[in-house]
Amino acid sequence: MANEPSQLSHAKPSKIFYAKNFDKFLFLFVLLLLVVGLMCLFSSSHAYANYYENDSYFYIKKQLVFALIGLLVMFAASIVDYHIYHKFAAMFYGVSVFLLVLVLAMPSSTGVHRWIYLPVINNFQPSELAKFAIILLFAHIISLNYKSMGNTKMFFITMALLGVVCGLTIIEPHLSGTILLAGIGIIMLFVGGINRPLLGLCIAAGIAAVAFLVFVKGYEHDRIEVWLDPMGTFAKDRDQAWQTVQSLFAIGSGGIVGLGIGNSRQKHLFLPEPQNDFIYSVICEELGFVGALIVIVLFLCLIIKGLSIARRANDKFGSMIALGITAQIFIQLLLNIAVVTNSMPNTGIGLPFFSYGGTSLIMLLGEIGVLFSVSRQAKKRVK
Amino acid sequence: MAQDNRGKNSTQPTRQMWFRTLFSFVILGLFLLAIIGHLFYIQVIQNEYWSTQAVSQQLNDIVVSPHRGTIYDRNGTVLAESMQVWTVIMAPSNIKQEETREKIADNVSKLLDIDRDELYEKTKRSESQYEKIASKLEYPIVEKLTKWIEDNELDNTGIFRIVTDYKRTYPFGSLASTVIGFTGTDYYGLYGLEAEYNETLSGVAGRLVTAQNGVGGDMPVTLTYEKTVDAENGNNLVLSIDSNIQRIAEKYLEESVINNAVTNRGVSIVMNVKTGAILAMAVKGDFNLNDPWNVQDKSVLTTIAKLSGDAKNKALVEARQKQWVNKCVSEFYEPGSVFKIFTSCMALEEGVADTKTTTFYCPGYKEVEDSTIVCWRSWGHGEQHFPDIISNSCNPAFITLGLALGGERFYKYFVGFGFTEPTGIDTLSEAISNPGLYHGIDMSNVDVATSSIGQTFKITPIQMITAISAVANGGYLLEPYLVSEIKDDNGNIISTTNTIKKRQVVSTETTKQVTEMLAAAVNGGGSKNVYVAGYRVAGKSGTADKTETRLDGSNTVWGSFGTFAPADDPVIACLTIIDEPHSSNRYGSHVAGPVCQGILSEALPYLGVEPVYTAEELASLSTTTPNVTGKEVSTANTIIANNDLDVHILGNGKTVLEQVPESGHSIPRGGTVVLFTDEESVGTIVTVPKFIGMTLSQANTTASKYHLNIDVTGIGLESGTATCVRQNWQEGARLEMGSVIQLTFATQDSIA
Repeated sequence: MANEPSQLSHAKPSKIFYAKNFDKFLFLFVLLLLVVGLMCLFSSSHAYANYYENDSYFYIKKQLVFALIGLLVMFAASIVDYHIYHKFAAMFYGVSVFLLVLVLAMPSSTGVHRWIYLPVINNFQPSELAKFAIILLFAHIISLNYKSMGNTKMFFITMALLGVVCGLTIIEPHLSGTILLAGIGIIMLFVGGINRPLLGLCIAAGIAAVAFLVFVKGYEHDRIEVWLDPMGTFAKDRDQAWQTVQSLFAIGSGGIVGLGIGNSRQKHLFLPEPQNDFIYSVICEELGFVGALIVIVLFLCLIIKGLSIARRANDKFGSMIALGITAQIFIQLLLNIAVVTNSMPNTGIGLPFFSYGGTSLIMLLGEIGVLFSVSRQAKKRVK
Repeated sequence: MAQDNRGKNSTQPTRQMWFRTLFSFVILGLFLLAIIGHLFYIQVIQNEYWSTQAVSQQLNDIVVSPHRGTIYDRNGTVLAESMQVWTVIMAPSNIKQEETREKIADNVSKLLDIDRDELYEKTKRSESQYEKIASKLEYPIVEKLTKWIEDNELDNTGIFRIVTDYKRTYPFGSLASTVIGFTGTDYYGLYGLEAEYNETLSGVAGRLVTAQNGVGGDMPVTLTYEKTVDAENGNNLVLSIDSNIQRIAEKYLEESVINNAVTNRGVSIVMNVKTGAILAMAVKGDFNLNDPWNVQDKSVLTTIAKLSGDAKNKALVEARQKQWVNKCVSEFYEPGSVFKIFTSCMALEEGVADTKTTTFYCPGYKEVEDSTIVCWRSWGHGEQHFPDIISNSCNPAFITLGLALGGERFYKYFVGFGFTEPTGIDTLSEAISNPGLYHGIDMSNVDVATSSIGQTFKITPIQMITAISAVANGGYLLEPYLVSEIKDDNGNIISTTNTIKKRQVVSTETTKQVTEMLAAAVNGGGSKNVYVAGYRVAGKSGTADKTETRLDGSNTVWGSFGTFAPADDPVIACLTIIDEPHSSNRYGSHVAGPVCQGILSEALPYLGVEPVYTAEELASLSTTTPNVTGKEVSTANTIIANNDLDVHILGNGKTVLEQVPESGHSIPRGGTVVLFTDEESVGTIVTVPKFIGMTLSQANTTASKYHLNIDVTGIGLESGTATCVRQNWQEGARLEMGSVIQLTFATQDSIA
């Protein structure tokens, strides 16, 4: 278990800082995504910003500041020896759970309790923190209990830990956040060697429960209706299908090569908040299928880089952290693209590096910093 | 796994972990591939569908209203035109805050003079992009609104759109209202010429397609798009109507309708007998073209006000529709003795009588088979010649002519004069005659008898004036018309109406003889109420009992008069029909005659027809007042006397300070010029007495007593029994001493 001394001794950090071996390719990929992301944010947001904030640069200016803070956080995190997170993993998780409970007491915006309102960073989403907490906690548990991961007791303990954060997120309600948390957790547990029959059973039960709630109980009926027949719903109730349909209009207008950068028409107040969840629709409209693929390829470079770090990591703890962060980016990419293309029902989730938002960008770059930290101590290659 | 040599207790990541990682990410990769496939499907395969959908919402397609054509009278005076106005459209979907809603409701409702709460309700329709909040606004209001929108920084929000439109206006209000007709809110002609010529007037709408953003605002310059399909403006109509003659006709007609307490309106039509052009077509009561939905007839409104509920609404709708109907073309009436003009033509044409030798005896009635038809003069007219029977309007004599013709020949001419067919006048809703309204070719002798005196059948006023014109122009039945030219937007003539001669009904010789007899009856005979000094008028009166039983059981009539002038070379015909007069004297000669007389007396000189005066007429003609102001009183006296005028001196001064009438004023010979010789006397006022009902000599005596001048029109100079029926300054009016009052005289002889 977590306090077995023999295991703990292996995980002891040699020091607090470790600043050798800067991963140049990782930096290149992150920088590429960040720069392209900022460009796309400016292109997609200026019309909206001009109309609602009277300043075309409203979002890009703030996002640039967030990016700079994020980069500083990233460098700071990159030189911290990741082993110290062993000490903080449990505490991080505890804080996250506390904040997730706290957020439920926050004033709701249209029935949703998702943000804690802070003076400086404005709106802080505890679910952003929870993702990282789950990554650290599971890396911590798996690295120390790798041998016993397969037993039933570990299954229930880890599933309970995951269930608490997922449960708190879903009652916000924040469906995409829940899916993301569950996805990260399940992949980490699966890789960490959790009992597979039980996991399979659990996933099957989860799918059955969702199917029951949606198809029998009629939960989220409106969302499902839009998903299955966007234009039909649009004709009946414009507001309900507005987001999805406007996104499809944008993507569908793009064609193979797009309308050209800056030439999106849909960003001119048709797409609601084009700088947020639907930024990818604007990219599709302006840069076409080719541009949309290029963005995906950029993400894949980072993901492959992340997996390579997980593979080469010096220990299980580092490997699991790298895996968790990479999985988070990948799942978030999938969810966002699936939503904007109406491949799945609409749930609000941003595109990493691209969508506007302070907490998520700084958190993301901080996590990338941790990835750097893992990379610094990783082996050059694995036999 | 066998190769995993990092040891069982190693902290190193294991190979299994790596495989499981690969497994998980391959699954995620498969999801990614599926989504990319979907993306490809939407973006590339369905590209056309989605772009079309997107473009349709990104383009704003505005209909550009064409300018509706102008309607001119024959002199180029505008009777109907479309002026640019503005419509305000609001998109409540773009209103973000409650505060803005309140602000709009409070201020815009005041600016546009609309209901505040109703506007507020509209601002709350948050899904709506199109709420019309005001239309037909004129520029000053729009300017204020635009300024308010700018001042409140709402100009780039897409909340308001102000689009141009046109508003139909009719400068003369009720003038020729039933002829011109009006348009609905969408400028579609609903009545009259506006409806008949709707396609010609309306033009073709254009389109303006522009790029718009999600809130209906402008796209940035780089993305602007504009495509214009110009509107084709409507064509203009030039009417045959002369607004001056129309005004004259309406003036006299309205007077008769009021004075004779008419309950079913009256009509007057003036037609050019040589071309078929309608110069005036008046209906009273009519309506205000700028406010067609309001009932104008005050007595009708009073009656309606007494009702309530459904009955009230029904009555209001009926009254509204009734005032819109052009009675001249849409309603049937019974002509009575006016029809004797045509019976005369038939008899002469067929040779059953002649104007010199044929004699008629009227014992006061005529027996036809089992029926006895009485003459309006029960004691009979005795022995008469043809001209006498017209002057006397003798029923038995005309029945004799009718029976001599027989049903077959009578019917032939009845058809010939166009009484069974529509005239073809170019306006909406000409009533189409049907065999139920008249007797066919196999009519009985009683039918022939009654028909020959203009009874037991019905025709429209336009049929009647067209037939009268045929008698006036030498026998040719013309197609009457209201529109003489159609011009395009630039004034180029597109089409001109030519005179259509349908056929010659009777010979020119016959019409000349009839015209002479009709003119003789006007000049001192039974038709003298349409006498106009200087012009030989031909005409015939008629009075027909309305056979329909009225609710109050009273006996009502159509009183009408058909005329044309000058008799030697007729230029215009004028027909007046008064439907249901309730005056003590309801004969056509009394209720309709003075209307025709008034119209002819003004219209003929206006049309440039030179008067030809008889010696008697000349003697009574007017003279021009000389200028004596500033002269010695004695000198003034002499000058005035030399002009066949009397003088009336006021005050004790030596010189004339002021004279009434002023110099150059036309007054009848023998009138009085009043001279004011000191300051005190200047401007002495007299109260106008009542002249109506007086004979000419009584009127003359009264006028000189009051030191007023009278100008006499109508008969009166040659008829001792004529009395004054109209005075242009009403009793009680206050005028300067010496002023001229126009009096119209008519006889009270009862001629049907």
